[in-house]
Amino acid sequence: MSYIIVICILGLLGIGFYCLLITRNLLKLVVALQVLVKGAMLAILFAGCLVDNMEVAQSMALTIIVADTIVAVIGLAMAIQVRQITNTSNIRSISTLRK
Amino acid sequence: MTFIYALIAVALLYSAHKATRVKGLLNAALWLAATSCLTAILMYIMGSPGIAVIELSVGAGLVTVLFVFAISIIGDEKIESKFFIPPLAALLMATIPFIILAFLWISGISPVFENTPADILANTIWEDRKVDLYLQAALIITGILGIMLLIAPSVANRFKKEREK
Repeated sequence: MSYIIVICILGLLGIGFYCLLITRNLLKLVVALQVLVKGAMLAILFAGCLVDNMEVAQSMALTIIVADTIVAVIGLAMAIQVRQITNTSNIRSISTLRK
Repeated sequence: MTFIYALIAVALLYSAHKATRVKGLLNAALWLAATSCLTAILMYIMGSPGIAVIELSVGAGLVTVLFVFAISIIGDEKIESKFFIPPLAALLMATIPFIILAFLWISGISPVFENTPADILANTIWEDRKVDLYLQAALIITGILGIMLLIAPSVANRFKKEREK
């Protein structure tokens, strides 16, 4: 059972990290971040199981869920603004905003 | 039972992979919602039913609605240009650290997954980790202000343009 959880954690972290490295679309970046954070959240809960301190791990997971949602909200809002101003969702267009 | 857990794990990794690699943004949002659902199931199995419910409602519900809202405003766009990092190099960078971690982990650790009593969890959240609650309140206010400041002008401009047309 614990091997399955570890495979899930490592898989989610790997998939999210890989997508962060290769993607160019702002919305896809937010998706990749979400996947990455889900892996991190599972890892924290698993660590709580290992040290037999689940209540602290759960309260930290709760904080992560809130922070992750706010990151998604801000990221999506930024993507909307960048698309409105530059007519593209390419992350390279962010560097042209100051021109 | 292990077969069911393995099935959930495979479905979770497959949906995460599809969420990041599928072409349409709307499809990506739906696959991400599926990933959230399966993560919530894993959390429930690990003995965190409260967190699983919150993940299900926020991750699969609220975030998906926000994604669909954003996609409906900016539309779907296929970006075809060169990668920052070659895919093979990115794959190596993403895989090697986790292979090392996996080797480090395989040392016979087998935790016991048990449900945490609700009163202990409530005591931890409301008494021992009050700073986390203040942080969450600040984050929620930040998110609300972010939506008000960033999305509202765009929607207004869009409505104006549509009226002019």
